Amino acid sequence: MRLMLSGSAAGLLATIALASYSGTSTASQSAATSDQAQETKAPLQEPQDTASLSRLRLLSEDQYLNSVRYVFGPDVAPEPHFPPAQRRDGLLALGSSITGVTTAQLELYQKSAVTIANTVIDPKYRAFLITCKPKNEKKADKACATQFLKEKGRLLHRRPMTQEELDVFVTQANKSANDLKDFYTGIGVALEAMLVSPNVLFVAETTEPDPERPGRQRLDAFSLATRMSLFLWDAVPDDNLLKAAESGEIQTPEGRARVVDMMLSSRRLDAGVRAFFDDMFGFDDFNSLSKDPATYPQFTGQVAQDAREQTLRTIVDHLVNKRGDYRDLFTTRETFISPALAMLYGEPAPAGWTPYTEAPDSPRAGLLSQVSFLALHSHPTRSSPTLRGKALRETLLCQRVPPPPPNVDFSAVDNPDSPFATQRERVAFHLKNPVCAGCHKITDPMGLALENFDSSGRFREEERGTKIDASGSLDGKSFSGAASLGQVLRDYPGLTSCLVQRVYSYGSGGALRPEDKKTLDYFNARFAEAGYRVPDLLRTIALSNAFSAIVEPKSPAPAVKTASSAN
Amino acid sequence: MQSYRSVRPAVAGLLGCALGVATAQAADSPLRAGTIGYVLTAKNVAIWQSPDGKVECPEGINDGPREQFKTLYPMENGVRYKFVETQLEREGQIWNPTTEPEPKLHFKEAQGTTAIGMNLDGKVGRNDFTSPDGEPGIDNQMYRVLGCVDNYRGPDGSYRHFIQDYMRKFNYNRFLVELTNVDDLTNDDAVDVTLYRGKDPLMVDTLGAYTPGTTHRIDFRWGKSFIYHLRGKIKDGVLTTEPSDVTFPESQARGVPYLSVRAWRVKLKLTPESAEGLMAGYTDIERYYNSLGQNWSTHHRSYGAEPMTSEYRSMRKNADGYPDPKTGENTAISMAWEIKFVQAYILHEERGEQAISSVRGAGAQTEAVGE
Repeated sequence: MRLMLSGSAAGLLATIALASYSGTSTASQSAATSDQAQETKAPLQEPQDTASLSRLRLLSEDQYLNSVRYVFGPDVAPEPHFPPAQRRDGLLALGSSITGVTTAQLELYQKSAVTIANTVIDPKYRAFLITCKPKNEKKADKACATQFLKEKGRLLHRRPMTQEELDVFVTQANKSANDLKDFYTGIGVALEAMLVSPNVLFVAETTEPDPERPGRQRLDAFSLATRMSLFLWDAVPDDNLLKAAESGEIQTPEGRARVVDMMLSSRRLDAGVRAFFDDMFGFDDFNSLSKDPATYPQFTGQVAQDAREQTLRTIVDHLVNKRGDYRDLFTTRETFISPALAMLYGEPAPAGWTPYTEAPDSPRAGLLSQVSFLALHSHPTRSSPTLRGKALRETLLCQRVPPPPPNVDFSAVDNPDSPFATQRERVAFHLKNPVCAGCHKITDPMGLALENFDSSGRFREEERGTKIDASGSLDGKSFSGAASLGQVLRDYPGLTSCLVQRVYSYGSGGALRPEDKKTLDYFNARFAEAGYRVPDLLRTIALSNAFSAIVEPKSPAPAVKTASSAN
Repeated sequence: MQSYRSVRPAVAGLLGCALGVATAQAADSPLRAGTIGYVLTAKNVAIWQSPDGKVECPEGINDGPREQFKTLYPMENGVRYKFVETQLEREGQIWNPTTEPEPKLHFKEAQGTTAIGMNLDGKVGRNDFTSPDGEPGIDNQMYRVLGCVDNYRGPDGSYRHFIQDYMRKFNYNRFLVELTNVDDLTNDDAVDVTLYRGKDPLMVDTLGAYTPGTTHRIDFRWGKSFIYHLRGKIKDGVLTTEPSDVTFPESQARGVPYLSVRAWRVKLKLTPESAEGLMAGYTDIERYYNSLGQNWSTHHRSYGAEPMTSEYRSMRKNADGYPDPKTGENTAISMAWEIKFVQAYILHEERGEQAISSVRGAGAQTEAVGE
């Protein structure tokens, strides 16, 4: 198919530059310090004045692919390799609300659009993807083009297209069909243009007056449906959800509850939960993770891939299938294993993924002892109590560990002929230097409890012939080994509130504000009441006023600069 | 050093062992409940080579199909041959070998008294070799046949390359050995050895080396004929098995994906991570020759200068076992292979499939394969 991009779409995207509606992330720090002691005292009724900001977000690659698969089927599978968003306040999802699209990125979107359009009009697929037939395949057929583009355009735009919007694409399809003497090529050109349209690639939330709360704004039905769908399914709304928006049902308390419950009971929730935890745990770093092959020859690309998958499978199984307590993720001995991971575990495993239970006396228990956490937070040639401790505090407890001072001298600890037999001795060296000690006291004590696992995540009892001491502490509580650390973390007050903070900011699409504290207190209380069951937390958030009510930003939203507006 | 056992019982039940039972081995040893498995990662015909090759091949290496063809059908003085007089005739000779002399050709058998192999008959015969480490009575008459054929010589003989390459690329040649009733991997005067064909790929690490500790499923569906139960013993860390006629999976380009060997046995240095050593026995000459022709085409034989018809004559001449009851002429020839294994966990059943073992219900042997 010839590359023919809608002039308006290309022009709009070529120079588009966006800024966040949501302000800076520094405010989240105060919200993150929510007093845990108040969790149980917080009201179980949502405060009346809660609200979030409306957002303008770029679809992530996974959201784009999940949506394309839903609209066109699994055979339509481009490999887009869109650039990742910038991580903000612990989440890539927040970076997608402050992103822009460069011309180079636009080229990637266009390549994907070409692949999708070519597949859809391929004779193998067109019969069932294009549900009408043209009267003459050699020329335009306005009725059939309109039917197809209206149907797919509704799903891709996450709302019915306006007549004006539809006319643009139909006109393009007809012109191309007549010029090129092929109806399907015309459809392909119009579809390609639609797929690179800003209205498809960006989620621009729109609001309307809230009839229940005069003077306040709420998301309109389609924006609410999209926010829910990205939150719970990591995809755009399906036909049922759009119907609930079109009928207005989603704006009624009962209707909205029905829709949310339907979404929570769908298997598509797995994709949503996986996407959230993949984001929260920083698993995008697996894309660039490598170990020194001479030091860890068994840490292959397959092991890295399976380590990520093992944790995500564990999470979905525990939280969604078994409706388990979130805190128990850090002590559970139930997981899954693959042949590649089994090599690191020193255990057998049949082909594929197999349920796997750690023995009661196994040093592995909970997510902290899984290869994903251990390997992701280590150096290429050695384990790192510091990186592991830092990750535990920042990723799981939403705390911030300051970066090392710029003038720190790493020569002693980076010496390849290290005089230190163990990592414990190495990090103890930090404590001799007051400049280093301040932060290392925050990170190292809990990281040292994971020292029975090397940088690849493999169990070891010794390091350089010296028996490993896996004792550690976390804010005054002492323990030894990964299993004990997991137990202490499970009962750590900030564990669940960190999750609440991350889930809410992920779902509402932006960084937290100081005003969100009351909202978070409410969510924390409901989460505790629900026994820390994540589907219940998702339901609470998706049904909350904070999720759908919109507050105006304190500063005006930055203008969306485009070629057309700039000219 | 792992000091725990953590396999879900359902998985453990599929192994030929019950995990968690203490053995004489270290706590993290893959020898569990008296069972340890290995998967073959390398197999080469045992060819002893002197540093410059002059000891065993004083006349150099043999001509191959191309060179022999030139000798038989010289294109000098404008001679023109008919197709049936050359290519077809030669092809016919390959598939109908005889022991008649080849007056125009000269086949170079390996010379000397040193060869790698095992003493198969327990005797020290006149034609036997001495091993490189001084053991007399080595029966490896195939070495005389193949010792100066480039295909088999290291380090880069063509068959050596192909066989290793196919072992990595394909699964049909997966050869598993499982040891059961092992009390001690260093010394045990009675262990059970079971051979299987597996169906999973070999796994390599980031340096390209085969990784110990991978899991392999037994091919119970199409691999029943490869299951053999043997008796063995371990002395000073070396496993030896009692002779038995076996057929094992064979890497090849096409044709016959197995090799049958009579009075087959192994001598393997065992560690918890690997097993390395020899296997040896008597190969039936007619079957071996036929498989050679089917498995490797003339172009493969040309890569490594392998003259099949000449080899046949040499095999028959040096045959040293299994005399024909009627003619008294030996029908088999002693042979040895150098082999390497890495430790592997051997699964006896896979999810959703009922294991069909040839030994199901075979009394005491049932336990040996964990059915």
